[in-house]
Amino acid sequence: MQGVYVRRIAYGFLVVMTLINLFPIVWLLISSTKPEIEMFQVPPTIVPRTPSLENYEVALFKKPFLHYLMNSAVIVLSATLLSTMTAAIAAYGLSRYRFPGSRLFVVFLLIVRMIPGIAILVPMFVLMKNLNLVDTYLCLVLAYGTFSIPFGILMMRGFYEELPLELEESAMLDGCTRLGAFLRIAFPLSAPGLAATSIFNFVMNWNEFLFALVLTSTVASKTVPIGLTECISLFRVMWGPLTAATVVFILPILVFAIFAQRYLVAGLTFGAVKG
Amino acid sequence: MNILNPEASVSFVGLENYSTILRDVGFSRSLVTTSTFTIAVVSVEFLLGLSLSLALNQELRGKNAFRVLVLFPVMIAPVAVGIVWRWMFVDQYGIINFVLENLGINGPLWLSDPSVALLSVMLVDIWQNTPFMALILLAGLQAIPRDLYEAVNMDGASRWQSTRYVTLPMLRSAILIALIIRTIDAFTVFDTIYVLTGGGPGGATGVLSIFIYKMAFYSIRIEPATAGSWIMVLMMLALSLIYAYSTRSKL
Repeated sequence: MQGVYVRRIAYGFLVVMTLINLFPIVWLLISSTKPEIEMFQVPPTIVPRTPSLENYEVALFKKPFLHYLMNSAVIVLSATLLSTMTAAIAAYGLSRYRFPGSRLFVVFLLIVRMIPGIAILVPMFVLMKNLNLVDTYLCLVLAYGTFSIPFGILMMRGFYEELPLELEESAMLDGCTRLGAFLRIAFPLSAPGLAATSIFNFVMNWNEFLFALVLTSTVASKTVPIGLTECISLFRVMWGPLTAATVVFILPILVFAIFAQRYLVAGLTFGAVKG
Repeated sequence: MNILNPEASVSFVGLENYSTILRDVGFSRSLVTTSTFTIAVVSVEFLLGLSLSLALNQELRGKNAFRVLVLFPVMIAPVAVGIVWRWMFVDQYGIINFVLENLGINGPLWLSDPSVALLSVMLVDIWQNTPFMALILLAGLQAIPRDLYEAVNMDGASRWQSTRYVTLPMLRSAILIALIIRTIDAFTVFDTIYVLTGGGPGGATGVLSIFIYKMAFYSIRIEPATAGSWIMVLMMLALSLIYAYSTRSKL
């Protein structure tokens, strides 16, 4: 009896919370398909009376949005790939060798993960300015590496520590070098870890705002989040194109959330259970 | 220091920049705003997130769908979340005030009334991060061995007793980590507030990150700004050490 009661409450709570979670996203989607006049109509229409893709057309083709989209894609993909590979090698080294300070190094990585972006923003800007890198792809790729790599090392280390040593040992008995054993045995076997790390890093970098805001200045390297805020000025917000562009921006992430849920949850909750 | 020519005439000033920032009225005001924001959102997110995780942990029909949908707010960029909510908060034709009006309530000027703006940005943060809290706690719940529940059931424990004496103690470290991560993130919040209010109206939502960003890049007062960000780092470091220590002590 008591059990049924609890389950009903739990079910009701879940349904309400899910509706609250989904409503803003659905409302954004609905608004983006309304032409300008209907968008600002009072009372607002729940189902668009004259649905149109006008906003998408303006957002995608009359503004440099496609350019921003390409910047975002190139920067985020390179940052993710580079960080995950670097992190995998570092994590493998950390899990197979004990050297003076290796424990301290891990604690250091944990601390790096906790340092807020705003704290390294100014030094990062000065550094990039001196290297003449501001407003280039490389600039953001390196900046994103500074948080993707420590996170990737911590996450991949867990995967390598769980791999049985015997596989690599027998490969090395058969004449493989340490690097060969890593490339041929450990690296392929850590595929789930690589997937989880890169998917999580991809999403984090795709969504990143603060560094892009300071380290980019022209259409040459501005990413989508920066492009979005350009539709907001002190006096006027171009809601039509803005809602359409936002939909395009979050769509890949929602697809990820549906198809790579397991990997994303692994990245989010990493450290919470195993320590 | 000249930000465009960092090597021009650098001189050592000791702790002068720290005393400048600590005496800055804006800094102390935004410290208060940030602390209020952090304490409020973290406590609400924790209570809601804990309930949500307990519900998600039940064997219910469609639980996998719920677990996917709960991910959406967490995964969407804070910038996009800010945009969506700013659109819903619009005074004249926004959906929120329209719904409130139909319920007979006169909705406030969510983002332009200084006495409501902080509450509005808190609501947005709670919407985005409650699921995050729930997911961490859910991972903790799933790690609790089943036989513990069987054992207390044999001893005739009620549902409440098994939650109070098995679930909560076993969940201790997950709770601690969830609270610390969220406290750090809330304390350094930037993106959503930048989009929603830009720190306004009249500084009502000017949290530390916004304050330091504006000081460094609008007023070009680099030195006190970096001193301010170091004060933030030290506060976060203290929390990180607790974090590192609490995860280590479990091994």
